[in-house]
Amino acid sequence: MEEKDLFEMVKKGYSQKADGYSRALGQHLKEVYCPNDIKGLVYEKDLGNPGEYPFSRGIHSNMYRGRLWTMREFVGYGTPQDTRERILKLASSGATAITIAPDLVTSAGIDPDHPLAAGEIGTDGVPLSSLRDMETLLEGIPIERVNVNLVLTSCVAPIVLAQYIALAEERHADVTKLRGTVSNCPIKDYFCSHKAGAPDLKFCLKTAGDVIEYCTKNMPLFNPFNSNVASFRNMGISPAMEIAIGLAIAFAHIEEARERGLKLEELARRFAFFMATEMEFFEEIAKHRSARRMWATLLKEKIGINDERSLQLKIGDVIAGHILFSQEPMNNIARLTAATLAAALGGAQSIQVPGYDEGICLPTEEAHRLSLRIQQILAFETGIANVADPLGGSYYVEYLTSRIEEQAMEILAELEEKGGITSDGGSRWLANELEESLLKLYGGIDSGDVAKVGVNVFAAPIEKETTVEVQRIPPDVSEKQLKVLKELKRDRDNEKVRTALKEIYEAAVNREGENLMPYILQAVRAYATTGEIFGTMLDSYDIRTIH
Amino acid sequence: MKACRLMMSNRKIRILLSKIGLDAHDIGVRLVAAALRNRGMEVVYLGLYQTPANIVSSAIEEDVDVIGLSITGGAHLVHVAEVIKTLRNRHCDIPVIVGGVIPQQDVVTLKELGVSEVFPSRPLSVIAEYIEQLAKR
Repeated sequence: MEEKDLFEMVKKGYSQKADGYSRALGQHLKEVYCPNDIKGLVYEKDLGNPGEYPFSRGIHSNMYRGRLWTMREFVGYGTPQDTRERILKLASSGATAITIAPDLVTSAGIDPDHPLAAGEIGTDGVPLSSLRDMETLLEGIPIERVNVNLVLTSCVAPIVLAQYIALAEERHADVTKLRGTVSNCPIKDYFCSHKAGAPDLKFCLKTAGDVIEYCTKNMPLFNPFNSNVASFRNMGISPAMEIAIGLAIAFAHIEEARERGLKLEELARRFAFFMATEMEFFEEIAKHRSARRMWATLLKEKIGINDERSLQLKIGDVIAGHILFSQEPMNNIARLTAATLAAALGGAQSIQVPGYDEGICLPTEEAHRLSLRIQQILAFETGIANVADPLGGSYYVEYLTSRIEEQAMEILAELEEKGGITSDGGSRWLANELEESLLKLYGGIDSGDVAKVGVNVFAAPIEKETTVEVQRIPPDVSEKQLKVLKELKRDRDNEKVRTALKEIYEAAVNREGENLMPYILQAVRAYATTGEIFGTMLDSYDIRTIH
Repeated sequence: MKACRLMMSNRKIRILLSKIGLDAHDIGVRLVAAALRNRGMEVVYLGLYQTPANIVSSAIEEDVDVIGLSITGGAHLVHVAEVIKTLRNRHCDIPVIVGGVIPQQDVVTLKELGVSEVFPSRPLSVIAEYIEQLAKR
């Protein structure tokens, strides 16, 4: 650009202005919000103090004065040893919980020696092919004292959870005291393309139900599932749609649990939303408040749950991957900071901050630490955690909270009219909506309608793009894991494995509705592999997939 | 030598798009498919969990001008090498382009393997124009 053009740009830039459009709401905003905009709001009924029904202002009276949000980092790469080392490094930097990312091989329910596993072992997470890998991964990590989140495709969830339980048993840890979460959301898997490890919605709802039932009865402090709406959000949907889908997923599971005769209060107490935080700051803060209010009122009025703790919606946030770009990747640090701040001001129970290098590779050690630092700086240096719901009463934030709720109620009603999220009609409708959102968001970024700094506005020429350090997967991961698998199959009692697998098969085939968790746990204890168990489950339900 | 392809004039550009291996992140490739269809190309999208062998077979059967692979799971070097090898074994010179989560450092490596171009987070129009140029050759 010539200098004279450059300063023409500067001159034009001087009068730049905000466009007043909220993409989250799909509407233009007023220039200012005043008492008139929230005149229908009744404090006791619609807000309540933090810790009071309907929990719009937060689920605890003292919020982060009681306990700060949980600072999670999503970890998994290379061998279980590699991942363990990263966990220890993050722990030494002050991470307060662990989130385990299994690799694509484990998520697909196959073993490293499967032909489709070539090149994928440990590349996008950690391999957990048997109890042996779980032992290695968590060696020396006191699981009875650390909150662990296992992120899994729903049908593989029972197997990896069983590995975790079996590890606790080996260590004589009290399983009833384990705290953590197994992300186990079949409806997410169905809509968001995780078909390998979740090939059939009905089958997945059954296995997810088994996990929920098992945990509710045996592991009262462990969260057996969450509404993983973050994956939906990455498809470009609005915050209102995110809440509506989250609620629809919850209702589907509550229905399933009712059929199994579970106590709905116990189930609801362990329920959480896993949401994605985007860039539109005040909308994101408000979204948390709308979600909590809707959860409490709908659970009470629609389902008839009165138990106070069941009505408190726990929200785990991840900063949405789709707000991060590979162009000028350092800019992502600013994006992550703004979104993390929104999540904290929204009153999240846990926040997971991706690496600034998301979109380039798995996080490097530096990127991982930096994500944690963003959370710590906000928590310990800015004072934002001192007072519960600090934006409560803001005309604008209260307006947004009510407006998002209104939109979400409309979407929920529409989805129910179509037959619900698991019905043919409802899922077709939702799939179309998701496809449209996807094209709108990403098409908008592509065309420049959705401004992304350094990407489609003020962008540097491609040849000047920044190159950052890249996390590499050690080249011998496959070889090492194949060796572990081979030795495992040589050393274990194969007769015991065969018997245990046969029992899974027979329970599934001969006793309809039987909970498979105890049988899976038995097989895991005998060191049956993830692929062997998943294969048996698929066989017994006669499901054909990529396997 | 366009050994595998029928030479026809004035036909639409045909491109085969596919995911490969276990990576199920398909948002990007679906967007590319939609954009290319909007530009009047014929897009054959194979979907998830494809192997090098069936990608190459489909490309030959469908007589496509270009193969586009989308990889976000970190296994791009392994998978792309296998696709190129399979193409060569079948004496086929259909050009291959790659998109997805690809570090800058790997762009050169992929090109050395025989990939025509790599598009990590590029505007759809840039990808489409490149394909149009590539198909003319």
